[in-house]
Amino acid sequence: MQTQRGAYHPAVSAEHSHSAAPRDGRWLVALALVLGSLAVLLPLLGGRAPWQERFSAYFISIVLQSAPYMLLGALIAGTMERFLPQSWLPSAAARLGTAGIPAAALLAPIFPSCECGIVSVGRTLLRKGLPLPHTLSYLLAGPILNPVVMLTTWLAFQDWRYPALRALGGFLVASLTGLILRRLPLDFAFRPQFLAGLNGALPEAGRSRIHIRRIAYDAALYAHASGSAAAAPTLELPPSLGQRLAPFGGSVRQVLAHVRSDFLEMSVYFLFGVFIASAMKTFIPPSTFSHLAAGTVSGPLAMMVTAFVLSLCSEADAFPAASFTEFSLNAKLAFLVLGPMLDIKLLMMYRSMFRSRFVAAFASLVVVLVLAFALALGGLR
Amino acid sequence: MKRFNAACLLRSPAARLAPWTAFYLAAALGGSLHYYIAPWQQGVIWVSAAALLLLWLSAVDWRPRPGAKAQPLRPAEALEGLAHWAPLLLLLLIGPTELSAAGGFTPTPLPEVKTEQTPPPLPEQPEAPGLPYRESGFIELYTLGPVADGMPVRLLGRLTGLEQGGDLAARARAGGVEPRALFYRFGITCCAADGQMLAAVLVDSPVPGWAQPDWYSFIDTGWVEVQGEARYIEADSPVLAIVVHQISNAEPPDEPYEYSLSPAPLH
Repeated sequence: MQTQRGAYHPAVSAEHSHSAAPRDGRWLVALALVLGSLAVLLPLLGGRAPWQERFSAYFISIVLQSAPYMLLGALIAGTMERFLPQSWLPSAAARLGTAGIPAAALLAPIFPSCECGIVSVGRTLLRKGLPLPHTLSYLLAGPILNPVVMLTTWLAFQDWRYPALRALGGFLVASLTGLILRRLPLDFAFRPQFLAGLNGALPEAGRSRIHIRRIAYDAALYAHASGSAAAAPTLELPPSLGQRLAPFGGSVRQVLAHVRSDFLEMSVYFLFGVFIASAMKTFIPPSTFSHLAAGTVSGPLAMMVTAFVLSLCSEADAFPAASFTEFSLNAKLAFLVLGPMLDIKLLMMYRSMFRSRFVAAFASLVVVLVLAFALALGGLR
Repeated sequence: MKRFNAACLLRSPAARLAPWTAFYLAAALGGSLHYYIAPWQQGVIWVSAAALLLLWLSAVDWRPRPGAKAQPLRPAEALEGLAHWAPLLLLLLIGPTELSAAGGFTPTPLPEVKTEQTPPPLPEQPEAPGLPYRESGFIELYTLGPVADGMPVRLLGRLTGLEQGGDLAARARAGGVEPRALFYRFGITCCAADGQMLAAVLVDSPVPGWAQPDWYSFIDTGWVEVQGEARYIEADSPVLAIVVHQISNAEPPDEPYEYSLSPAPLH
């Protein structure tokens, strides 16, 4: 009997594998990142240029600032993966029906995360059987309906309308996106390799397979702790402390393996997204869009493009937003609502599970909904 | 059957986590955090460095799966492994550097400054240099707004040409002041990525001899300390101007930026 502790979770199995796992197109992203890094570093042979220093400062600061939250998201995801019962989310979603989609947006305060960590949590929710529209709703609303984000938004503006309208916008756009996209076939949305790993998307077969794996895993752990599989039925002495802690140690190892696997998988997409965002910040002056501030539509649109390019963390983006004094309230809200849902690095991270065509459709829908929300607030000053 | 080779090691989680761990440890222990991250965020970096070290240690006990056959490293896997090194390489080969004004702004065409023209007199001139100068910062002066008008101040920053300030010079002229140079420092809230140029225009003192005549030579020479009088110029959007009394070279401050969430340290 094999007693690998990694037998329970696919992430652990993949981590221990000696064969090259399917790379899911990630190598193309990695190739682009490596070539891009060379394009920045090779000119150093001829001396430093100011653009290299600016690029480096932007790239390093965004990575330093954001990766901890990606790590935290992976930790939350790993803990959920190990401890959240497999049947809980699918049955809750089935009970709530369509109402579950907006309800999923309200999960954010329970599993708080900013946008860098939320993708890991979303992937785990999908693996745990939460339907796609519900997960989308959570993914979009999560980084906004986060208590820390609400607090920093208030701190930045000192005006209760900003956090309140930001939360409202986040909730509405997330819920509507989930509701509108609820009929989409899964194979349109997911990359094939990711879909293959979704036990939750195949409820009966998935649940039974997980259940069997769980039993096998528990049996394996017990046998491992006891020294041999045959010893288990005849064990008479009370288990030692080490034996009693073995399942706990196994769980910790499971969670850590999941964190490693998730973090490393997401980080390639994340780094490429940060690379693009840093390049755009380096070469596009910040005042590029300021002449559009006065327009009814161009103001919110300009702020949405700025949010997309800046790729700031949702826990800190309210402060730069407050500094755009020439823009109106609704344009600033367009920035605050769109930024945590869609930016360059997030777009790349979404690609870790979704097909390009789905990301394009989904992103277009989010842009339209956020713009509509901003325009609806046009009368506010 | 060969069960383990170098490829197994290179594709292991420990090998891929190593550059991440080294990156965070280098940023934290190398003392360069203040070039990238605001003080209120720096604790997060230390915790992350510790967490990554722990994660890396937990991956070091990685062992080959019994019975599995070792396979050579594919180019795709090698590329993915290399990608994780990008932040560390940029930090070691380029950083740490602070943001500079160069390259960040689109120059606005300005009318040529007529050096022989006497700048228009400003109301309420200070009687003489040697006033009780207040050590201040750009954020403080912008926050105080009209309250700071006429305040004798001492600020740390850098001088650059007017062309780096977008439409700031044009706005100052619209407010009746002839700017001669741009005095700036970067302000950040969370990290250098949200850095914004905090700038004031410098104007000649209307009283000849108050400032050294060659103070323009301090442009693009590094950090300087400016003593002068803060002026709040009403234009389409207000402009901060400083009437120069004295400029001198200064040591780079420990914290190159001003921070929105904490008082700006000057030295």
